[in-house]
Amino acid sequence: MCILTGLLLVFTLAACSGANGSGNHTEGSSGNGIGGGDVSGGTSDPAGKPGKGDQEGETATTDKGKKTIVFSTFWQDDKFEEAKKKYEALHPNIEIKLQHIDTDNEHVEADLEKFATTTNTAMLAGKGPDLLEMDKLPIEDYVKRGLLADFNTLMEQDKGFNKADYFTNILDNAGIGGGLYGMPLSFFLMGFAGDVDAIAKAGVQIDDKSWSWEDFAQISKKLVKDGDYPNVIASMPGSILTMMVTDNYATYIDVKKGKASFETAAFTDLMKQVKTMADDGVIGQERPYFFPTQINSPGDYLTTLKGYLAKNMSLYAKPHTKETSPGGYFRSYRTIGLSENSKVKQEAWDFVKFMMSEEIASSPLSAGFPINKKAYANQLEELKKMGSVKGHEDGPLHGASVPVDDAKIEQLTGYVNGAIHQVAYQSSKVEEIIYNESLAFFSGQKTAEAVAKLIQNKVTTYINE
Amino acid sequence: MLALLFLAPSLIGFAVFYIIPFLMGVYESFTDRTLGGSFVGFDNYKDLLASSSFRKAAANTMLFTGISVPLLIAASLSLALLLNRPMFFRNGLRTAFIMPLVVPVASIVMIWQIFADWNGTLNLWLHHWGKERIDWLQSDWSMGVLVVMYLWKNIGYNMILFLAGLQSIPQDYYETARIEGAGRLRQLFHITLVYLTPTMFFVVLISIINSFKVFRETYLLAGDYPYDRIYMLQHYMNNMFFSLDIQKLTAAATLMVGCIVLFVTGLLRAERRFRDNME
Repeated sequence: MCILTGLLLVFTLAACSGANGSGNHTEGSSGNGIGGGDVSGGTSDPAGKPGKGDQEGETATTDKGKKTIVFSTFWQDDKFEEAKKKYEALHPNIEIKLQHIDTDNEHVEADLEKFATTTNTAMLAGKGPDLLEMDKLPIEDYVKRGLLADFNTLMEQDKGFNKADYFTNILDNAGIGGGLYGMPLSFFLMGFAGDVDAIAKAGVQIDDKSWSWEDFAQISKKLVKDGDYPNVIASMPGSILTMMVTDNYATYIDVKKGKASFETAAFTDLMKQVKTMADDGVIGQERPYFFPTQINSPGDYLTTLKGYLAKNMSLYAKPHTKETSPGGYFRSYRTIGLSENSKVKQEAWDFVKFMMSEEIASSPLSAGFPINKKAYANQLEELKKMGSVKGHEDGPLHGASVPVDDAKIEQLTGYVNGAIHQVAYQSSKVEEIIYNESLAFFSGQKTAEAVAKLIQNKVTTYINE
Repeated sequence: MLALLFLAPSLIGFAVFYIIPFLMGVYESFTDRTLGGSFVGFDNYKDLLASSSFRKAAANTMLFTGISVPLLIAASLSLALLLNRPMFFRNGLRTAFIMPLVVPVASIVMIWQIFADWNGTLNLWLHHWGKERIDWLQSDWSMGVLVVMYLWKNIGYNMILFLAGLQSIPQDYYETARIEGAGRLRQLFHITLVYLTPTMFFVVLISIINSFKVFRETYLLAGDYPYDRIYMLQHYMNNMFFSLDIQKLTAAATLMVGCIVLFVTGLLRAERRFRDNME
């Protein structure tokens, strides 16, 4: 049933756009001249003087008609509302139409799926919005079908755009398949919050620039043996296993040949190693040395690190392979895609640029580090002015305030500039499969070999579709 | 003319919602991208056949239909024969067999999930008998689970069809046969089955179509990437839809429809020949 309705949707949509296609073209050449008065001329009144409009010819007509940029998001977002209002005030000939889904807690999942399906079909039919928030959409599939414009080209062509004003470490590393198809308006920092003092007390040296999972395992053994805390990392064995596999993706999955290698001694050994870590208390839910964490904002940085109730917490990069270049991890947030089929591409890009600029002020407490360096600097200024940040009432701080500490802020800026590895917003199918199937092994219900066989079975199906 | 007028609404509906989209789908399957793509001949089909997951899905679908349809026909025919004669609680039984048709799928699936899960009822029983448990949905057994579910769900409907067919066979034939000394078996093979053949064609057709519909239950039961034994063609198409690969999706749909049309044509031709022979 699902497919059938899907198919129907695609083709009826395709039918509509097929019929309209030629019509749109002629409309386009005559300048989209529907509605809207022109302000730029000052004295001119297009409605009153139809003759003048004709004389001005092509160049004028593009400015004359009011252009509409459709911007589709899943959630309602005040930030976008604000950007829309400001931008429309500055550019009276542009109208920005924000679309979002009204949803509530009970229906989020169903609405999300519906949102993805309708957006997918609309995009495929060339009738989609001009701008989309990609966080909840399968961006890689969009890129594969050539549905999104590459922001790298737009940035290069745009003389007024100075890339150095932005966090280039993020812009350069947020790409997919060799292009920047989603523009991260903001980002989170990902890492392990580690208890520096407790680690030092246990006599362990950690170089998070180059520590591999092997190193992590070694260090963990020592920490459990010599340290004060019962656990090393607050996590689930399934998550750790998934992280380890995705770090060595190529070892397990050869996409070109469509070959998965999970039914191997290497993988079952890895599973057993993770299980041993869980059994030995390396992975556990009691007091650990490390918390996997996501830092949302400068304010959040201060409260989160304090929230673990240790005096001296610091952000560590998660373990990675030796080949990975040293650097921290980030996750793009409010990633904006620009439809390749958009008729107002330049205008849409201009709006994206506006959203990236420091014009859209954001509080140092709101979610996401801004991609704009100046906006980030402004946030830090404001944070220093505030002097302290109040923790969440319901959180471990119980609303207690955390003072703003210059040294900590300095450190944060280092992390923000040093984050070069992207963590996908959504977990991939392979990650899901590994996590779900491995649960039975970690709970002792199935053998490692049986689970490896299942993972092999499903991943093979997935990569050979 | 008048007939056409009355047919028009349903014809238009059928054309708009089925025929035209399908023809567009066929066209899509020969282009390289959705909308405004250029003609690439059989490239999509080549890609499709090169995909081992597609071949697996096609094989599974055929296997499932091949196993479940004959089983279903045999089971529902026996039931119909049984319930066609006077017996205790006949009407109640007839109703009971129809029940699965009216129960919502979601609740059926939930019961089966609880039943066949790794930690489910079936494994609890196995444990009681001191046997190793079996991962019903994540092993080759999964196909068996589906077959049983399909039988359970469709047996009542087919039984009704067969009952109707049985009741349209004139009793005189049996009487004559009995007088001439034909045994039970002979009556079954030379009267019942022969006069049931038109019904049989219809039931086979419906059963095959219903066997494709088992995807809904499978999907709810085991998700979009189930154990590869129950990974059906519709899983493939559904996943292609979600990864926006409309080309492969339409190519797969065209192939599937092509096969079904071929099969049905063959079946209908056989039926016509049979009917000609009868007269």
